[in-house]
Amino acid sequence: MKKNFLLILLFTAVLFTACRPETIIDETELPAKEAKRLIILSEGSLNHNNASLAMYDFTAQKLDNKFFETANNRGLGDTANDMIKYGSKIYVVVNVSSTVEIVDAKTGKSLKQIPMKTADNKAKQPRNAAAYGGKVYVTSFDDTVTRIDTTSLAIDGSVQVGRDPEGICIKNNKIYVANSGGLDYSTGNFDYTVSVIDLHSFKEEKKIEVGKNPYQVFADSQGDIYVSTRDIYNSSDWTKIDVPASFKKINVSTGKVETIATISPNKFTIVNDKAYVLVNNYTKTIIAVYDCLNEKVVTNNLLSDDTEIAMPYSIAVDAFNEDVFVMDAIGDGSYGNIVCYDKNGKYKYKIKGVGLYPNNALFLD
Amino acid sequence: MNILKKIVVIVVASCAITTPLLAQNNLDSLQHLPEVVITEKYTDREIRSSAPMQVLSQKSIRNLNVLQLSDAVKHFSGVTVKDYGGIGGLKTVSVRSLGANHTAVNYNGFTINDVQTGQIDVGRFSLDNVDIISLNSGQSDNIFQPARLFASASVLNIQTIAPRFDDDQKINGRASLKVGSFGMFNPSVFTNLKLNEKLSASLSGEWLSANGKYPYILHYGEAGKDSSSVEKRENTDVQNLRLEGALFADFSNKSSGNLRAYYYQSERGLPGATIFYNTSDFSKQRLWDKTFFAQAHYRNDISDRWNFQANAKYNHGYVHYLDPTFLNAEGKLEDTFRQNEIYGSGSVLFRAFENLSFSASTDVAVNNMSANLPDFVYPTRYTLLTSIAAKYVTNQLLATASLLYTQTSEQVKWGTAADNQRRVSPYTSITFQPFETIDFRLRVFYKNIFRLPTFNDLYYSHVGKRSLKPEDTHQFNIGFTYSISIGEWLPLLTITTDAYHNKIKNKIVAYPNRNTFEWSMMNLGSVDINGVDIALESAFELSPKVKLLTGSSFTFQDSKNMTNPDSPAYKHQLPYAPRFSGSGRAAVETPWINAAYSLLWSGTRYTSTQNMPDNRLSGYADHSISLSKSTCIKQNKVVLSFEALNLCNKNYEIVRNFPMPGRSFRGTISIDF
Repeated sequence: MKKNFLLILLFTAVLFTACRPETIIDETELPAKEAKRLIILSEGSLNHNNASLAMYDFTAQKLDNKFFETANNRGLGDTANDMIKYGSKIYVVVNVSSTVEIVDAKTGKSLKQIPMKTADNKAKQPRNAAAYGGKVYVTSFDDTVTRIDTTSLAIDGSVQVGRDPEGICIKNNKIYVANSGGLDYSTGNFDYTVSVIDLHSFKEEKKIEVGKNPYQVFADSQGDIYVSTRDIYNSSDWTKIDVPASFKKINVSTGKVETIATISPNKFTIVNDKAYVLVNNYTKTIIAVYDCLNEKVVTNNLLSDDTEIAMPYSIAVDAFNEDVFVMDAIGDGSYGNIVCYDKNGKYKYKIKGVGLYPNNALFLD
Repeated sequence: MNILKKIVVIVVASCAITTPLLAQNNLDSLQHLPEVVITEKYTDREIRSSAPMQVLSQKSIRNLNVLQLSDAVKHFSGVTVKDYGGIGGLKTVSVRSLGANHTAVNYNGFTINDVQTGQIDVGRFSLDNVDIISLNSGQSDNIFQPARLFASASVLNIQTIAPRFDDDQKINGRASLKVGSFGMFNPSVFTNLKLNEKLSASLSGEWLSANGKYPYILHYGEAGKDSSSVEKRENTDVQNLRLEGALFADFSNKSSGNLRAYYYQSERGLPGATIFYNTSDFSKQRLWDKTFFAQAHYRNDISDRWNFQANAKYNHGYVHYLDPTFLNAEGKLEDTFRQNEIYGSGSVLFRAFENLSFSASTDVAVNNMSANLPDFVYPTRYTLLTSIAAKYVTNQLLATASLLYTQTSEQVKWGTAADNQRRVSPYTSITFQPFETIDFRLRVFYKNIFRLPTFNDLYYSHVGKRSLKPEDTHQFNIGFTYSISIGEWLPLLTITTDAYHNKIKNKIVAYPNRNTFEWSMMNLGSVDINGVDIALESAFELSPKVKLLTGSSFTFQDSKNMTNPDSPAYKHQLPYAPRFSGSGRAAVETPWINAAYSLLWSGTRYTSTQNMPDNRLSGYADHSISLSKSTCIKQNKVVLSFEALNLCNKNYEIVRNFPMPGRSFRGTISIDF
């Protein structure tokens, strides 16, 4: 028995080491380490140039909510929408200032500010980013995905997608982009597709119909793509919703789009093959958890206690210990908080005053 | 970022661009009541008024070094003018922290109404043909006025120059030309014509253009430690045209009337906020607006006891907004909005006893609005306002009381209309002079009034909410006025001091609804305001030929956000309300030359609800001087003046990321004929 067990152990170890060099081909696929610092992006308010990066030291339990500004003697700009970590750098997407700031993750110093402008010098209004294979891909409201080379820190390509692309993810050498058409909200003429771009040729291969106003896209390890769509309002009575926000999956094996009916997302993220969905409910903070491998809802609400969150704005999950962080924007113009729950949804602690409308968090070792 | 938030900002900023109107309103001087002793000495009104009233006459306006009405209004105490900078920038007036929607603008007796935004852009009013501007907190002591003038928390009155003729004069007037920095060019003319003994006319026209390209320093962080760059304001051009004509008739010695037509059009760039790293691409939006109105006023002094007046008006407003950089399918955002108003009012005044009079007024208004927005609901609002008021006056006491009844009815082309409103709003005031020989008066007023939700609040796309209630205000004011004349060298010294407590309930604010992408208007806010306004005015006779006139105002405002005890912003000062602010002015008049100095200053403000260093906007002081010289050429008075504005050349901000112009110059030549 014992021998058998050891044999199996040995066998799996061999299998693991054998597989490792093949499966782990990119930094995005490294296993998570224990986080020492939390970087929080706050979007700021329009026309106020007050987007900010905050840094929270888990050991010292200290917050520096001017991490970027102190390091660079200047502000991040107006309306920061997204950030990702890739290698030793953080890529911050600033929508209204129309820049991508490439920031050293350790020091907060900007290594380069890339102006996101079209050939005729118009603002592209970048929205979201994803990275793979030494490149960072950025969606912009000018209906493009821009590629940034992470060695030269310069733009080296651009591809046309659908209207007003928002979320972006990369899986199995494909880039998936949610085409929202959200800037045509007043006419109800939303886009309803996800563009699939080949990573190597950097050309759009096809568009998959997923429903009006798609917003975020993330992949699980099997290659299934999860998409959220936003509420569609009744055009003659804005107080009514025709189609509520929905949670969908593009099944990689069948290519079909399935709706996960019970969940109406506001924002979501996928960590360790679990989708953590901040449910579209303003009065109560609800986090639904969906198991992407077994394809079933784990819980309709992870949170076991009703901690006061004035305005749940975004969600992030630490892949190492699966602590869940909910960003509370408060909503009345005050600096927001970030609230930490353990993986069972039990309240742990709160970091106050991180910035105005916190919308993203990264875990750094 | 949040698109809706952006849309709201754009709409509020661009469409709070308004609609003027007019008529004739020197009613107080016609009322044969004992408190009206002198009408030319306006300071008299200020100290006798039972609710605070501040007045700037034509002459004092000239000494303020101001071009637009909004600049003059900044000299009133208790006032916050939200100024987005430059000639074309939006300028709205909030009195005592109540918000611009609570300030009515009265142009020659007719309230200017903007049902779409509820805010009047006072930057569009020229001072060229203005005789007097005044500001009433609460309401005027004059009870013989249309019901609408009882229907707001404060009233900014603009009165244009009425025709006055010397004995055998048939025509008079003034032509002037102003030129100044940043390409400003401003010719204007007005003329009065005496058509016959009973009929006179006035005509007025003005053109104002500027490129507005002023330099400013853009700071990318905390000033002093940050990087900065020298930039130039872009897309700041304005082209304004105003044409105005009026007929004045004295039908008999008991009845009179006037008829007025007004046209204004403007094209301007909206420079937008100075966005880090993207200012130029952000500054492309354009705005065109047109306003036309015609208004008629009739008055009949039937007997010593009875007076009657009637007003009627038609107003049309048009706004066209273009954002050519908007990244939707069409590649631009282009909206047009039209508003129409039909308005009528009738008032009677009854002098029951020598000291006691009563009045009643009824106003009816129909307002509608159309827009090129898809699925726009085309709202129409019918408003009925009825007021009854009483006034008691003796030499040492003046008391007024009024009740205003408001009823509205809303209709939309499709969907659900907003809730109809019915309200009764009380007001009362009293001023008392304890000692007959000392010009010292105590005064108190209370007013409870509301503002209706605007069409934007109710119907604007995703944001509007039809079940909104009106936003309520309560004002309590207690104060004193004192005036003294000390010998020949100091013929006039007046002090007015008022302390007040205001409350706002059901404040209409934009708030995230179901989640953060879905904002909507809500009756969420609650505000407590405590403040003190002090104004000082004096005239010194330095020598028989040399006069020094000074004036100053000081304001303390503690305006607390009481909305949510759990918020970090609870009990914090409201955004953009300075705790301390003030103004000063001094003018020296000599037979050879006149010189004037004016100052505006403001303490620290916060740009958002939370009072924290990141939201702090530092205070400022804006100093200006002018020299003017008048001579006579063939009996025509010619005035040359030269002004130097914002001498310290600081691009201070009244609204964050909207820098004001630095030092600039202006020259004026005018000729009276």
